[in-house]
Amino acid sequence: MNKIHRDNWREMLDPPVGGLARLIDAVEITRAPRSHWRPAFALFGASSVAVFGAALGLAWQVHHSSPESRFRQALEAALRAATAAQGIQVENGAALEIPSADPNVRIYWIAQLPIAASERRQD
Amino acid sequence: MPLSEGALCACYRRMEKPLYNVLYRWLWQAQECQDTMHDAFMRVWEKRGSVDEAKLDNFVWTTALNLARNRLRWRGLWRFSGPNEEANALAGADPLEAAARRQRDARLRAALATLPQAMRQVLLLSEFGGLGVAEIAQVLGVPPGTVGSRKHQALARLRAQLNEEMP
Repeated sequence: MNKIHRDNWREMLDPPVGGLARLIDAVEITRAPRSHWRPAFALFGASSVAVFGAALGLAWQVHHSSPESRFRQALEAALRAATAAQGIQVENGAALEIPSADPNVRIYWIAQLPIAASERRQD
Repeated sequence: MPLSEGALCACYRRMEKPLYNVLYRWLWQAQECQDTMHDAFMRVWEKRGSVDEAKLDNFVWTTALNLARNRLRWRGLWRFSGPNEEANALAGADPLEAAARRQRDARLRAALATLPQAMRQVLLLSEFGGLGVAEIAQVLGVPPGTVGSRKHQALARLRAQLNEEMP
């Protein structure tokens, strides 16, 4: 009973069943991800673009509806009305803002071009 | 040309038994052997774009041996962990035969453990893997002459060990 035959140690064992099926399943899984994930990636990309666009639009709206922005627009309109009534035309940002001690008052210096220069311009 | 799934499966069918037997005499756990084989073939499949089908068997052998070596290192082997489970090989066998096999495996395991790793690898690939000297030389990356001498020495030492065990 305790004896071991001289060449018994060479006996070949049968491997457990199911190894090949397991390999085939695993190989199939490695192929699956690309097709499964493609729609998810596309959806993620589309929603990212939509969210970014919406955020950009919102930021633009907030910026243009802020009190500071509204004040600037009103001031610009008042300045245009004042200069138009006096027949003064401001070209190329020629109005120069002068420092004011009162934060509620803005002072602009608008100079008239010399006649010769204005005529030259009209020519 | 990348490796096809058909070629991989054909290789698995061809190598399953010898590879399992080599790994089993190294790891001594059926489930771990099967996991190592699976991992080795999956590694090969992951590199299918660069695998030469003519050298596929060699690549599988090398990969499986490396994985087995890592497992052993991780386990802190060669330590003995009692009787091995060998569930698949003994399923359905009668109890006396199962006990005899367990004893035989324990002796072989003890005898193999006395061999240096380089000799043990050559012996397992030759006796259980069915590889020739030239093939073993390719798998292990050593000259055929070295394989021949290692095999000769390993067999002699193993036989001596096993004979000593016999009363």
